Amino acid sequence: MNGFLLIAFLLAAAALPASDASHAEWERQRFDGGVELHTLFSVTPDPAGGEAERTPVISVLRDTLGDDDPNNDRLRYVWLLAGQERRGVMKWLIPEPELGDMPKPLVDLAAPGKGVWKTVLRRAVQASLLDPSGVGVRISSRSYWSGRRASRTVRLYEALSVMLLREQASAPGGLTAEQRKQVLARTFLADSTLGGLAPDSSLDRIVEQELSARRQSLGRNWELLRQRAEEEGLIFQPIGMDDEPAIAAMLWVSRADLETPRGPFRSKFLGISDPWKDPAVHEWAGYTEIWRFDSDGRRTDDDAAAVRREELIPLALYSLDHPKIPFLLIDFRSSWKPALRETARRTLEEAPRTVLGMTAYANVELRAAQFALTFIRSRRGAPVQRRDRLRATVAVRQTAQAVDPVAPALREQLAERLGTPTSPSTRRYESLLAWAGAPDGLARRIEKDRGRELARLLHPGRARWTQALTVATVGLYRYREPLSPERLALLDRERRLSTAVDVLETAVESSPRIDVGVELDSVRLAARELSGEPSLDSDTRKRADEALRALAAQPLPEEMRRELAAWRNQGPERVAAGRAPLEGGGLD
Amino acid sequence: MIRAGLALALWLTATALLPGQARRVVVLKADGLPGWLVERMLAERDPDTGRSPLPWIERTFVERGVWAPNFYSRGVSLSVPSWSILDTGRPMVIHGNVEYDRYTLRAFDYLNFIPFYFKSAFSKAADMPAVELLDDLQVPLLADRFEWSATRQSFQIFQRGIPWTTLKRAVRGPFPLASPRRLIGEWQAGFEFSQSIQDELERSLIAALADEQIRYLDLYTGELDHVAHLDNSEQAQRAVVEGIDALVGRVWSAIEQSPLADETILALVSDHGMNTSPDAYSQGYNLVELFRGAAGGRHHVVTNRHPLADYKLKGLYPFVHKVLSSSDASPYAGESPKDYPTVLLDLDGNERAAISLRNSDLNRIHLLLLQLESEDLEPKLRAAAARAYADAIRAYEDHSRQRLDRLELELAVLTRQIAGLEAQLPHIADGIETRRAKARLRSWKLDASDYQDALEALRTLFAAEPGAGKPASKTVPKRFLGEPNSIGQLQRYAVSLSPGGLRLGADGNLDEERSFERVDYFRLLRDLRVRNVVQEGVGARPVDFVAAPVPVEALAGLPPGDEAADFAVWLYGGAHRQLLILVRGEPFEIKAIPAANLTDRGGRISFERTEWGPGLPLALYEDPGFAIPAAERAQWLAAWRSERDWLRASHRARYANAVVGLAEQLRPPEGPHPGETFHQARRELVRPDLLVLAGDHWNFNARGFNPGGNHGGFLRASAHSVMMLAGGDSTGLRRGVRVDEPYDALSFAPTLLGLLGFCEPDLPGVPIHEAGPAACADGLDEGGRASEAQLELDRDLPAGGQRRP
Ligand SMILES: [Zn+2]
Ligand SMILES: [Zn+2]
Repeated sequence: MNGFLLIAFLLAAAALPASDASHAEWERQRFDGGVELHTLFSVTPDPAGGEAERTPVISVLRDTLGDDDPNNDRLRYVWLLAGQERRGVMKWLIPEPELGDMPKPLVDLAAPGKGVWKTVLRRAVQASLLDPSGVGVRISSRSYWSGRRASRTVRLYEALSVMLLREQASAPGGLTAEQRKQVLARTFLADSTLGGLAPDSSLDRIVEQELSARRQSLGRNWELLRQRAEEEGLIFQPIGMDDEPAIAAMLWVSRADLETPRGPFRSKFLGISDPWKDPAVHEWAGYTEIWRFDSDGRRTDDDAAAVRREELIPLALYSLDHPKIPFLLIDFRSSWKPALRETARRTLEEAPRTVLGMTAYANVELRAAQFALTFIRSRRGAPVQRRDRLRATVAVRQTAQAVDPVAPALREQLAERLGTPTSPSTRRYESLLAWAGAPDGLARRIEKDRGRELARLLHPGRARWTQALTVATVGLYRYREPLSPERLALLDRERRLSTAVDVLETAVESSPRIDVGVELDSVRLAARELSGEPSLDSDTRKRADEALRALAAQPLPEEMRRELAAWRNQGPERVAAGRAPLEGGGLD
Repeated sequence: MIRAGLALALWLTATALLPGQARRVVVLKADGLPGWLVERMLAERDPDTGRSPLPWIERTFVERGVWAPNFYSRGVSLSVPSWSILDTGRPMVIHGNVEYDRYTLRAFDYLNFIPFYFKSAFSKAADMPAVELLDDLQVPLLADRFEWSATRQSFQIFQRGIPWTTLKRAVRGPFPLASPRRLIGEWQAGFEFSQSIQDELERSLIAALADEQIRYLDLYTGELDHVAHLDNSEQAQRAVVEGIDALVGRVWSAIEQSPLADETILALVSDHGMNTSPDAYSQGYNLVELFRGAAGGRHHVVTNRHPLADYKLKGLYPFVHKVLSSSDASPYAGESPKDYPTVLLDLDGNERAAISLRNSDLNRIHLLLLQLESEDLEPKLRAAAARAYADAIRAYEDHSRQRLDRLELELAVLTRQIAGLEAQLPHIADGIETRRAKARLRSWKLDASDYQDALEALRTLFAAEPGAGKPASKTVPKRFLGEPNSIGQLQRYAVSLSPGGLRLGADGNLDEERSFERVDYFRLLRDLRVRNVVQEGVGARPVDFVAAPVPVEALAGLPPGDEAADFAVWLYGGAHRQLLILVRGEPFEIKAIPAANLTDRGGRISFERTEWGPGLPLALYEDPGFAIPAAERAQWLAAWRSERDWLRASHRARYANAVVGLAEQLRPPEGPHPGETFHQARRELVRPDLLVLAGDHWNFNARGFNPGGNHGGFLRASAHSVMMLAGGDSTGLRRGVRVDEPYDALSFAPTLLGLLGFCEPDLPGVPIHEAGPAACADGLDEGGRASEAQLELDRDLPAGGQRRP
């Protein structure tokens, strides 16, 4: 149900014209054997009019079995390609640099839960064994992992940020809307340890919740800063793309206002010191801007409409993309301040674990105390989660470089202090392409994956270790020849059946009468598919039976009821033979 | 055997019914579901499939039922007042989501459900506070037309009883607090419940449909309101509406399979719309800070929730109904702020604020007393101040005498009622009725003692001999706002002594003008401007206009014939932008008069009549949506018009039915008829002095941020709500009817009651006759209905207390 909404959001997000604004676009590369690599590029135009800069952000592998019908497609791997640079605030947010090798996939969409338990186990081991064993091991092992994690998180957010804000409507590429949604959702979920366990059926809801939470934070922080600016007599400047909610905001003080004495300054939500009594502000010689205002108090560039000019001194830049309260990115009076706050917070968060030599996992009481502290502090609005802060920073870096209201001189300052977004290096992408083109690269990998997929169908019910053996036997083909056409046909049919079950289950669950609540044609196609020869997989068979029974129990239109009965009586062969015309996507 | 007999009897009664008789009603209550959003979505088609984004609403109501696309809230577009009209069919009795008593500062927090859950859990309450009030005022709910056992109400503001089993099943715990953090989060955000509870409520509603004995069912969802306050994106709001559509589908399908399918009516109704736009955040303006500050009068301010400025854990404490924000620069600095709050703010709903100020003369009295208690007042000045004080006391006493006499009388009646109820208590069967009676007894006793204290404090004040060394705090009533302020008092409101202190006039008396600092609250509020104007379409002024009741008899210079108005409302949009709304009769006849410089001097109110033109409050003259052709507008507006004519002319305009709504909102409470009830007498003391309406995309939320959108005002976006009906074959409901005639919330109850065969001609609203013929007939005694005798019992209930036995 929400799929449409999400896509609408993606499309709306990319409302800027392609030629003269930053945007993102998908590009498809086909490989032998019915495999495609879909890559999302972030495109930043050259202000001098030269060639736009294209940076690969994310790649997805799609196994199409060589046709154009999405019903037998499988999305497999997602790779994060964005680079990473340690400058400014980022230096503090990411303790260790990531020196990557060949890109590892972020997630395998065919098995998103893979590795989840390994991660959980690794953390448990680290928490319960390494930490108490000695200070040295403790610190090095922990910072090693957290450094890697933080770096991956930054790249993840940059990818998400591009996908959410800049994906180009006119160049959606070869992926279907559903598939793009799946990529986005799984990338979202890759951010949380247990996210991989989320079932496909919950993706819509999870993504919509995430988007909604983010929009709510943006609005709330925008409003918090505006109100606080208003009460403290400061100038508030939201920063965002056209037709998009602002992602950052600047606070300024007007030099003329410094003459008038004011009441006490409440720094609580702003995180900056009193500008009214600060000599550094009164004697400010750094960057300023001259703004003109019309009679309504709006900023204007029209000299005729301007009734007053004011010189503004920058005080702070905040990210609005942060839970509960805005995140202070730059205090213009002190380059080190937010960074210092950042280290102070890290120390506080890690203190109970590293200094006391106990682990939060092992000590329930300590964990409770920590939770209480976190809860109270987050309630009071202190930014507690580093993950949130990374995200807040990444979002602003993307935007500050791209939008108009930020003057070029200021933009440089921001780049200096925040670090620049995705480094133009295409190293990861190049190594991915090199691997994909290599003889034992992509082609071999997909053979192996397909072999595994078949093995599960042909040899169900065996223990894992025998399955591994089976993979090996099926894989006997793989070095010498590709899977036989018969085997591929089998794979094709099984994938279609599994897609059809998904469609039917979703339809039956979403409405008490599918003729009212659901798009009927897709249901008919799915029902027809499932009325034919049953799946080899017992689980799929069971689900198909149940879905068809639930469908038959509904008050269906008479015509459809007859069709359903006819298909069931037709026998598998004729249904299979009748499939061909359906593949075009239309029925009747 | 017995069951079969019962069923037979039921079947016989059923067949004896008139054709066109509905016997069961299911009401889906969607808080804040905007009429315009549903209308817009219903007009859409998927270009590929041709399908509606709201397939169930379209099929059930638009194609096979009745849809009234021009349905509006009546009065402020606020949950509690609006549901009070929808759920009772009576004129507005509750005027805000919170009400404060000026004499006792008791807060009636109708929206806060957490204390109610707790009280219920410990058997200390039976009904939500709004229902307790309706019971005190003897106003029955729609559901009260049925035996309580024949009803299934979900969680909501006007909730009678509590479905504990549902709650338990949903959270599997002894309390509804399986996750306190989550519940508190929701409480903070508004009246909303976790999904599991909502699912459980839906399941129990659908299960109850199988039980033929159950005749009234409802299901409340606050999700749209909740989401739209926080998120202005179309996709988020549309997703909620699609969810409501799916709910309609599930409920309607369940009704179709239920035993009373043919005789069941399904209604979808909302209490108000929502002023939200994906292009603008709603901006908050902090009135708490304004009133605490120098410009606003340095008040100690009471709100019903912690303002966000504190941002402390205390702000989450859900049992709070009154929060004090004191001013550092209060003129009553020596006193304890909690003894002397001088402003009560109701900011809920957010597009409007209701403001009650301590009576300006009490401020003068208090300030003079503080001067007189000090030793170092110069003798001449002391004498003048003492004379001024004596005059002020006498004037205040004269002014409040009538009310005090009435209150004494009502309190005597209340005391007798308390005694009567106490005597009845042992005879009330254990269960919800006992809880209800006990809760009522507690509430009445609290009122009685608080009021006795207030009256006693006033007697002390009237009798006091001021002088040096006699502290004012011993004399001035505490936690007491006194008489409502007149227009004149609000225009020249005494906030403190002048910076120079008390001054003598040439005649040796106190120079009142120069001795006190005064504020014109109409001007102050309307002239507010902000520095940061950063959004297209959101202006620098947070306040659109200010409304206050004005006594007709004090208005000088009304044209002949217009003096016969029953009451009047004054809208202030600037010194030269004012509107007087005169109202008479029931249903209303209304006339609006453009005015300037309305001034109240000692109870005589003068004003200049001006011409109709652009720029007046409500912008009727220039509004392209106003249905009277421009050339005839001035003439149309110059005459008295029925409320129906007003609704027809204005409902598509920017402010929709604001003229009728303001009349409803600010109509004086009934009475005073001595000997009526204490509760009715008190209605006058919970009325705010000022109703402040926010500009477009402005709000007054102080406890958090509502950038997504708001409601509460009279803009069409906020007032436009939803009303749809669908019915089985035997209900007499017409099919596929689009009702273009505009209606307001007052029409909902009589329409449903008519279809259900309840004849109640004394309900003031016009039934939506396009929906189908009312099935009124005498002598029906159908299962599940409360008998006439039972309803009668409720109506006269002089000793109060017991609802049905
Ligand atoms: Zn509401
Ligand atoms: Zn609301």
